[in-house]
Amino acid sequence: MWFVISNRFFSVGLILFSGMLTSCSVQDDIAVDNAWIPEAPPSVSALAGYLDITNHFSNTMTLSGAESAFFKEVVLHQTVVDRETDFARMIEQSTVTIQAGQTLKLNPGGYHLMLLNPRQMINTERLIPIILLFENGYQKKVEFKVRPFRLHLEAN
Amino acid sequence: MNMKFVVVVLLMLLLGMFLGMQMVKKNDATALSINVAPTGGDFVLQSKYGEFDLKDYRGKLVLIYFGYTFCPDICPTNLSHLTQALNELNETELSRIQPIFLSVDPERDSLDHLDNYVKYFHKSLIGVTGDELTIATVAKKFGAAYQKVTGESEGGYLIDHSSFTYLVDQKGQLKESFPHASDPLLMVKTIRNYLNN
Repeated sequence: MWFVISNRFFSVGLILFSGMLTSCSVQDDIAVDNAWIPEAPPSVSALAGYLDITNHFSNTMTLSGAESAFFKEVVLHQTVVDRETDFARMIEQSTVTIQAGQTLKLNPGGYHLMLLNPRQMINTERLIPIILLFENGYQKKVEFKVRPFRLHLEAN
Repeated sequence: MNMKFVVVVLLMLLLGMFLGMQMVKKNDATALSINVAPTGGDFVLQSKYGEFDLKDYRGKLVLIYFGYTFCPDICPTNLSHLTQALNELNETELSRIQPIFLSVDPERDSLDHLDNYVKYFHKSLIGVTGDELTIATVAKKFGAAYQKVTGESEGGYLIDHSSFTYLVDQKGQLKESFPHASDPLLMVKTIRNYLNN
């Protein structure tokens, strides 16, 4: 009898504990949204990756790079367009910080992942895994969907 | 005495370095200067289909974008906006327009590669390029600027560049400059105004 009760308590405790773990992992995490790669001609050797990265940790997180088996190199970049002259510069970023609770948006014409020398065909609707690397060793695997740029324009 | 001599030499060296840096800065600024009142003008470049002579397109609206196919962000964005605008036009309107992607990277953009690239965006786009001197002359006419930037990544160099899409009217006159990521519907409206005049 005692064994049955304690076993029930143990089961309930286990469920509650796993629930707590789950909620912790949701809160203390990096959340990503809208990860996409604009489809491009098969012959191009440089593509871009875009996404929203939200920092749910209580401390600032510093994005320091990314890697993917699908590309020879992934580089963090920021495009800066001078609104007066319309001159666009692409500036390599070694790190980008995301304050606690804030969202970093990687969008066309702004921050983006430069995806160099694809090792495989980057077909439309394909999911491309890319790992975001943070300065403190934290990693986040993200699946980017390849889709026409047109959909981005229609959504905005 | 010797000490004074060393100090003087050091001061002269510092002055020389300072003047040298100023000259380098001045040269950079010149390379990046953008003509505020571009006039446009005729040019002859190469495409996969042979010589591209702007004079041959009198009677058509010509849309020109300066870029390069290795560009991962700005060029695809602007070409997609242009494509979206072109897709809004009917076949008759399209037949009176010639959109052009002018590569400022002839070193990497072969004519075949350029053609494959632009046709992916829109069937009517023509990819053109030429030798460095001719490209620089054309860019100056249109007030477009570009500068090669050597990076540390695998991809080699990048090219910072103007992101206007230029509209040349049926008489070969430069009339409009659509800024980066212009609203496709506003582009359509402007294009139709020129088609109807």
